[in-house]
Amino acid sequence: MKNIIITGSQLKREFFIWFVSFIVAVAVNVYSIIKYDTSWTELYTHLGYVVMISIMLYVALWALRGVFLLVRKIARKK
Amino acid sequence: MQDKYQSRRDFLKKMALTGSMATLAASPWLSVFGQNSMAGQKPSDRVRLAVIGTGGRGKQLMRHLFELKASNNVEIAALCDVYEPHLQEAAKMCSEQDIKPVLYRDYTDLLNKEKVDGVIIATPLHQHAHIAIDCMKVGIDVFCEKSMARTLDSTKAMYDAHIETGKILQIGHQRLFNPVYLEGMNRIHEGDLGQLGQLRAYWHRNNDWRRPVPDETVAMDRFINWRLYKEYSAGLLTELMSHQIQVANWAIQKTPVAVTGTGSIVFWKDGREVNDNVALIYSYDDGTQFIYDSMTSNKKYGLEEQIMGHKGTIEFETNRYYTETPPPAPGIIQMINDMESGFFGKAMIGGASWMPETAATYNGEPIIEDTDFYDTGLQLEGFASYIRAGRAPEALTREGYNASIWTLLGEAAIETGERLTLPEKYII
Repeated sequence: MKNIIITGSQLKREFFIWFVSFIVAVAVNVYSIIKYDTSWTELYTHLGYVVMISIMLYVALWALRGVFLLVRKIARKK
Repeated sequence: MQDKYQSRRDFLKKMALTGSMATLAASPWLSVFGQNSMAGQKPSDRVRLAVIGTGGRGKQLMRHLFELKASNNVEIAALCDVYEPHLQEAAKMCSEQDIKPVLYRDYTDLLNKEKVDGVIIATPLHQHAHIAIDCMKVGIDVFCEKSMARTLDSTKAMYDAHIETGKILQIGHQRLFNPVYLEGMNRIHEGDLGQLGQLRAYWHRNNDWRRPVPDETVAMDRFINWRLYKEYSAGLLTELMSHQIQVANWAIQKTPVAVTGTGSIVFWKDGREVNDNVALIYSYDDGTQFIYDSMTSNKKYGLEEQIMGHKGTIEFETNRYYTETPPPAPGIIQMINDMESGFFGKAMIGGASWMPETAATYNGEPIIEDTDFYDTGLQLEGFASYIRAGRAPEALTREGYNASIWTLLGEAAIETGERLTLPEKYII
C-alpha cells in the first residue's frame, strides 16, 4: 500500500483555501441580509449555515482543482 | 406529564412567574384559586365526597382525589355502583391508599345514610340527571361528568334543580381548568387572533368502542356497552364532541343559533346504534362557524380544536399559536430557496397561472411553556374549593349546560336532517 504524505505547506494551503471559502460564505450571508432586509444578528445566529456553505465551496473548489490537475496531467503526457 | 401532581398552588405560582395572572382574572371559575390559602386541616374543614359510578372514568377521578387527599383535606367517604366488580375494584384501590369508604349498591341508600358534602357522578350518561337532581334536592353539591344528560328535557331539569336548590352543579369539562386553554382563551378574548371566522374541531380514533362482556346476554352487552346504544348515549357526540363544542362556545363567548349535521355507521356494522362517523356545522349569530367531525375508523389526524381568526390561529390540543404574519425566514435561507426555485422551477398544476395553495411550513410557538398540569385534578380541586365556599361561579354551570344542550341538538339535527335552532324553553 502506498503511503500518502501530506506536508505542512499543503495543509496550510488547504486551510487557506477553506478560509477564503469561509470569507466568501460570510459575504454571501451579508449580501442576503441586505437583500432580504433581515436582522444583522443573523451574522452569528446563522453561522452554522455559513460554515456549511464554506465547506460546500471548499469541496466544489477541491473537485475543480482535481479536474484541472487531471486535464494538465493528460496534456503533459501527450 | 410529570410524575408529581401539581396543585392549584403550583399552578398559581407558575402563572405568576409567567406573567399570566390576567388569565386568572379573566376566568371567573378560577377566582377561588386566586384565594391562595390552604384548605383547613381540621376534621371540621374536611370535604367528604361520595363517588357514584366506579367504572373507568369513576376510578380515574378517584386517582385524582387520592392526590388531593392531604393537600385539600378531601375524603372519599362512600362509593356506589350497581355493578359489583367495579365497586370491588374501586374499594381495593381505596384500601391500597388506606381509605375505607362505605360501599353502596343503590345511590338512594347512600343519600339516606351518608352525610356527604358532595358527590361525583360518573355513571352512564342516561343516569346522570335523576341521580344529580336527587342529590341536589337533599342538599348535596354535585360534580357530574360530561355530558350532562341524555335528553334535552333531563338536561334542563338538572339545571332547574341547581337553580331551585342553590346547590353546586359542576360539569366535568376539564379544559376549563387547563392552563393551555386558559391562556389561549385569554389571548382570543383580548383580540390577539383578530376576528374569528371559523373554528374547526375533530376527534378521530381507530378503535372499537365495544368492550368485552362477562356473559353473552344482550342485557349485559347493553349494560357494559351503553355508549353504543341510543337509549343511553349519543355516541361520539356526547362522549367526545361535547368537550369540543364547549371549547368553541368558550372561545366565541356565545352559544350557537343553529346546527346542521349528518352521520352514519360506515365501519363498525356490529349491531351498534350510534354513528361511527359524524359531521356537523354550528352557526353563531356573528357569522362564525364551528365545523366538527369525528370518526372511529381512522386516527391519522387525532384530536384538535383550531380557532382561526384573521390575525392568527390557535391549536389547543398541541399547545400552538400561529400568527398570520410569521417572521420572515433568515436572509440566507430565503436566498437558498430563491436559488433553488430559480434552478429547479415550480411545479405548475392546472395551468401555468395556478400554484397549489398548500400551507406554508411554520411551526408557530407554544401558547404556554409549562404544560405539566392535570386539568382533571385541578377541576376536582376547584370542586372541593367551591364546596368550602358554599357556591360555584354560575358561568361554570352554564358552560356545561350549553355544551350539553347543543350536543343533543346536534344529534337531533343528524336524526332529522334539518337545520335546527334551540327551542326557547331550553334557553337560559
